[in-house]
Amino acid sequence: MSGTLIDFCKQLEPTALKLPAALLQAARDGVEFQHHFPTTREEPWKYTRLGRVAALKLTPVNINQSAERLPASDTIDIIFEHETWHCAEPTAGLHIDFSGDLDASAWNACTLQGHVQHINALSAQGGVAIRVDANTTLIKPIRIIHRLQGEHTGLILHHQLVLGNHASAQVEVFFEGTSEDSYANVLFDFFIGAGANLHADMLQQTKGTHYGFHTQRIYQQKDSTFALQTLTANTHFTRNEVEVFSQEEGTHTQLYGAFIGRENNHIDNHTYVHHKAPNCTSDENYKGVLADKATGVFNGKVKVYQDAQKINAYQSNKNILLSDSASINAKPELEIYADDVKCSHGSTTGQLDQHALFFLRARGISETKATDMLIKGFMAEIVGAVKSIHIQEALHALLD
Amino acid sequence: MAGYTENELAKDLADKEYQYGFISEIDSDVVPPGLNEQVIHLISAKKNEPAWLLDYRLKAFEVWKTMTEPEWAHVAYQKPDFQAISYYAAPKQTKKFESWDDVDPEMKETMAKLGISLEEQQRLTGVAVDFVMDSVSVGTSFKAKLAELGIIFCSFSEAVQEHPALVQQYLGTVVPITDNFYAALNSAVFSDGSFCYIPKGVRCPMELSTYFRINAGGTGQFERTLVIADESSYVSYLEGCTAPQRDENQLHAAVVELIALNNAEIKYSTVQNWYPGDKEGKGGVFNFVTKRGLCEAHAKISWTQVETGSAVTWKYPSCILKGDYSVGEFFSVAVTNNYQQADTGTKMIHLGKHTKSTIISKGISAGHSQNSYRGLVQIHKQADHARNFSQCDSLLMGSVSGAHTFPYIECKNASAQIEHEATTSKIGEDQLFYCQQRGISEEKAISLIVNGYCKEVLNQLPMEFAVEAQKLLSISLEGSVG
Repeated sequence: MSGTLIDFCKQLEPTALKLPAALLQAARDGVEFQHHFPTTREEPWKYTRLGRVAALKLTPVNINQSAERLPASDTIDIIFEHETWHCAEPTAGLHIDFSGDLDASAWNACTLQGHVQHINALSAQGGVAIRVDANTTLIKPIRIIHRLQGEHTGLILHHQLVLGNHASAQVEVFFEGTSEDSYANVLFDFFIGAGANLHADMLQQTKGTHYGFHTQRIYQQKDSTFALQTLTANTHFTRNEVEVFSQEEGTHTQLYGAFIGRENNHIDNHTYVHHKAPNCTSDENYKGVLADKATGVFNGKVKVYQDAQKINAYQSNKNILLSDSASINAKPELEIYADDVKCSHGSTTGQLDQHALFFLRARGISETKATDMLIKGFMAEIVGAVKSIHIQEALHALLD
Repeated sequence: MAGYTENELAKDLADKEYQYGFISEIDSDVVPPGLNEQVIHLISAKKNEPAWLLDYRLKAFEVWKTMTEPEWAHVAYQKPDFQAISYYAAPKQTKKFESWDDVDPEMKETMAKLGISLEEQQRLTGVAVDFVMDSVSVGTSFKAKLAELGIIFCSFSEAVQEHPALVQQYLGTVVPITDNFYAALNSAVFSDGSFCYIPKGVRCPMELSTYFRINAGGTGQFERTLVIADESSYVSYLEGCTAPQRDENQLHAAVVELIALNNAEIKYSTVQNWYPGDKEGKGGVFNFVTKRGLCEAHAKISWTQVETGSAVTWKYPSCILKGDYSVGEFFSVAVTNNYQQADTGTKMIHLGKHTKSTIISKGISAGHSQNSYRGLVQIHKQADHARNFSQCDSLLMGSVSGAHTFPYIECKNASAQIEHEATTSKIGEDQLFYCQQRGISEEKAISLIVNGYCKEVLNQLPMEFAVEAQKLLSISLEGSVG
């Protein structure tokens, strides 16, 4: 069986994910209604063309699960490779499940927004369900690696991570490998219990003409903290959608991101923070460097609902263009319905500081080296927020 | 303690009556409601227009019929029924006035109520005023004096008769008929407006001013303004607007085109005070305006606006920075109250090299109002060393008002430098405390803070208008500003 993505949605049996009927119908209506892919006339896709994606001929990836356990290492590994999930032995208080049997109560809190999520809801082939018991602090980080390969593959996954009250965990997510004319739509739902703390780092560095769509939906309960670092390096096509629902008082959210684009890369970051409860803070910082003919998009939105007083929301987006053929489209948005708030955003676009470049070159450093140093310095703020040692190493290798 | 709290201020704002809400008892010559080709023929005939203009109107009407109303703005309103509007309403007395004594006393009184008594302005302020009531331009003062310098400042219909070549050359060059729904509608049915031409190298010695007023019920106002500043000239142009208090929504869809040729400078200031509707959000003017300027090399266009009126505002004064080294500026204060909705901002299109733009936008929302800034900064590929700075601040008064920011930044050139920043907050308790601690009453402190907040923009207004703008702000924010 193969076909375009729309055929995909039609042919696949609704997933084993036990989606509530209402959500499934909403997704079906969404895709049915459109009968086509969103065009640049639609606001969320204003700067990202999907023509190539719509034309892709895809074959679904079979998903198996290996009975063998991965050897223990400094992380709890979950690896998807050669159409198979491999998993290390979970530690106490941690549960990892591949049956697609996601927490139904958590599902009810979900909403479906837009094309990427509709496609995912209709045709997700499975995913990993991770649960951390209440009051558990995981010592080792959980490492999830997606190693993509092959041509014309279509991989649609829906992961879920439920963090019990007052639990604490660290997650590292990788997208790597080489894949041509392929499609991946990977959605993560993070349910963060009261007082819980989750730190997630994600590195996207697939090679080849791979079209990657990544959605992170975060549901935060009272006094929880969540930090996500999204790092995208030289991927052919990436669309990131991060949606945070701050549902109860006292939450803190940190969304950091860095993207580096070369050649014909297209990297699109959308974030949407819903402040539904009072006394919360959010801090957003995205940085991009684009060279050659790369294009970048940043669209960050903060919405403060009417009764959500005492919100402190900050959003920053800085971009550097290294070539005249590169382009960036930024749209930082604020939508505020409460009065006692402090919300601000800033966005800058420019080139590398010529004075700084001259300073370095005057000291005998080559132009290439000096440029690399300045970019590294520019990115340091984001890279420094990454906790994952593996991702830190990968980034240093990339930036040096 | 005679406490004047923010809540009281918010209440004052809500209670404030619209003081320009009078209706002048002047006979008007109104075309029956509805829009079709016949009406356009009728308008054109009434104004004795040349054939090319009628063609232009009919073409615009054809285009308009294929368009739909824009829905992307962050406003919600009952869409106007375009067939229920009368597209032409002129005060009946259409003969030209030789001296101001000939003017209908009722109309003179209207002007006096608006605080723009022409005689007084002529004598005291030296501002040349073109007064547009409903659809027709009533009179332009100081015309002779301006004519000595070769400056043409007259009503649009007069310009069509007397300077058809200029009008034909520039009309629709900045805002084409296909631009948007309301611009197309305006192009089809515009009735009058102002026309201004400043010849080469002339610095206009006085502020030129237009006052718009919608008077007749059930009408829409569709005026057209065209300002052409020839090479190395300078002009400062002021525009003011009011409307009577009515239960129904009135439509105002104007088009303003500015053309600044090489080295020219145009300063365009607006104080907009259309009737905003009552406390329950009933009535008020729908203000759907397209304003755009084109800058040739080394030219500069500066938009300054103080927006206090209208039930719904949809307005984006823009600059096309076509020539190298051209400069665009946008300074705005938008105050919304009760159920007013404003979606306003600017577009800066950088096409030329070394072009610069500055955007300073200040929003104040009180009551149940929604105030949005929507702006576009676009740097094209060939626009080397373009520079933009944007600052959009919002001040919230009252827990049910909303303030929103939607900036679009599109950059296709690596040498461009773009900065954008926005903040949203209410009047800081710490700022209030600081003032009060120094013996300044709460009321004065709020006034001080609001004044300071808007100062950057108010400073840009010409003297005559700055006073009026201050007055308007103090009406909108009674007891706190002034």
